[in-house]
Amino acid sequence: MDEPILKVKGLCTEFKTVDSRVRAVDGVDLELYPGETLGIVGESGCGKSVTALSIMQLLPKGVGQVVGGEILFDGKDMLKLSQKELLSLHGRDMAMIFQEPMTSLNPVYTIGYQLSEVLRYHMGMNKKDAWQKSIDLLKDVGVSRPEQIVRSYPHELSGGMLQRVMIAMGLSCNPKLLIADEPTTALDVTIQAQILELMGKLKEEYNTAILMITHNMGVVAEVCDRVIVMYAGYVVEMAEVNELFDHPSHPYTQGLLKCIPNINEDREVLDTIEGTVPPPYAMPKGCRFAPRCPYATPECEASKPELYDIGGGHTCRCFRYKEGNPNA
Amino acid sequence: MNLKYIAKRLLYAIPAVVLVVIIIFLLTRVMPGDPARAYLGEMATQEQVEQLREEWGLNDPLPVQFVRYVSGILHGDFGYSNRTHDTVLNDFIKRLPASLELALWALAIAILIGVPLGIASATHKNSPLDHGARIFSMLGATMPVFWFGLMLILIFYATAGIAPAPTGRISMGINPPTTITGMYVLDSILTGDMVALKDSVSHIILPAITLSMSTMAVMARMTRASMLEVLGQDYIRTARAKGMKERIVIYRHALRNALIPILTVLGGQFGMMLGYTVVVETIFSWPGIGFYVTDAILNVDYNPVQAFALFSALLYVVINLVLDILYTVVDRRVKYD
Repeated sequence: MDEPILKVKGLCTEFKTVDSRVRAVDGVDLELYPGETLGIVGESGCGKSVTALSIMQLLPKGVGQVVGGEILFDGKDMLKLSQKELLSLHGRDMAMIFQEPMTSLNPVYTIGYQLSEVLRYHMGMNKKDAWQKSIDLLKDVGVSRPEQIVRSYPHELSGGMLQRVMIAMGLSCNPKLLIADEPTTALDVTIQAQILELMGKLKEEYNTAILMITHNMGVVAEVCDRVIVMYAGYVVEMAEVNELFDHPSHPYTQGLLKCIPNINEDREVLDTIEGTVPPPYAMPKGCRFAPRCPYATPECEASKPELYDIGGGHTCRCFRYKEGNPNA
Repeated sequence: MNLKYIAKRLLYAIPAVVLVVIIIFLLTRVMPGDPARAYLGEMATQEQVEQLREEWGLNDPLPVQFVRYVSGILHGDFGYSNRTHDTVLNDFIKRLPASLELALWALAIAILIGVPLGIASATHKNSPLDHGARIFSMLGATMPVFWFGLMLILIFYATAGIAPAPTGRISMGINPPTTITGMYVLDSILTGDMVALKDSVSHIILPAITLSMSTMAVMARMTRASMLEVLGQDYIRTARAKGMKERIVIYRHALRNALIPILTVLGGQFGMMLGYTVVVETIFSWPGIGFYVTDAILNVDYNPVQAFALFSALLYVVINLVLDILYTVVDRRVKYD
């Protein structure tokens, strides 16, 4: 196998609050290979977006900070890069698209201006070439009438259209890594499907590695090769996508999958996972999922489980798998 | 730009201007003092005063006086000044360049220092620089203008002796530059008159700073607040994710979005500045319209005061219209129908 394009080891990110520091991400490891799509799933507040922003080094200044671990992108240690080196990576080698296409584009500049800005800065193109290339890029992401769209302002376009523009912008310099932070959450279902299909197509075309952050298991099933499940700031399970859906191992993952309603079942009430994510200032001493876990034992409350290898690249942070897979 | 919209806005301004004309007419009539007495002096007899009042139409009923006044305005006749014995219009035209020069300098200082200060404050939030800037702008906004002007004179003229005496636009022994625009600094540059340039700049600095202070402070505060809001927006994060330099993120992506509230405040400040001109010109003996009007008020000279109020109201209307049009240039989401 190739070298991973992105290798994160023991990533810890903290946020400053009024009177304390809160650890939002606690020891995340992940590897991402060229051309691969890795999903990070978890519910709100589990640290998936913070992981992405940490990798990009785009945490809000003075508030969020990476306090431990290593982020190797393309062999470079992201935490040791100068501001200038970071700027030349952003938008060129690593790009990011966001959850809210409506607010992610600058309202006072045209689409064409915002697209060609990246090309002019990173590829050294002149205004005219960059403008032409912007039109081509929009064509690539399936925007009709691109000649007209480049002259539009963001408020004149729909959310789906804007997300296509964001994707075009992200892919404009053939990045090695594209981080997509809930790219379809704000869009309606039919547009979601189109956007996911587009991302899949472009991944093939550009051989870009994609880090797909989502809370939607459907999106995971659709586009991801491998999946990481996060809970309360750490990774609880990692597996190849089919393996995860066929053999979800961590009780949290099992709970998540059970929550997906099935059209063939006739039931009144949807499944839920009892309880809520513990707030960062009141993390349980042992396993963080223990208070909500149906299998919790005194051991779970007393000590922290590690990520246990249960074969085939499938790992799980649960004491039930300490001695290997009990179901195997 | 939509010409129909501009025409409509100007039409809407008419009631406001009419109201200003009425109010200022009534206000000047209740000003203490008799213009005829003020004109003739203490030694004149009561008969002489009565005769002059009759001659000026001051004994006519107020509605009659008002109609006469309005019909004069419509004919471009703002009356005579009893002090200069010239038409008010001529007096204004003569003094306008001095006031305009002072106002432009003050505006330039306010914007060129206030806005960058606000940006620096926002980008270095809660740093010593931010605290310093905030204290500075709070002082600037609250300090009385006349007091600040007098302090500047006290420090830079009376104590340090580095500023010229606060007596006008240029020193006695120095010839003003050849008139092109009537603004001494600009004319000195245009004619290459270095002596006049140096002297006129040294004369304008203190009054311009005095006049700019409160606007500068308000600009700094508004820019800081507006920038802080914009810097937290998603599209700023997008610009950073695109690898844009910090300078470009701040000045190109953030500032333009932050500009609308700044422009709005600037429009309001313009009105304040018009009022402060009167104070500042008086303190620095600056021979502009403000100085002229102060003199007119003190001498119960109705016509210049009425003309000044009308002029201010019209200017205010025009400035705000220009700002409204600027909004649409800055932000294409702003549309007027």
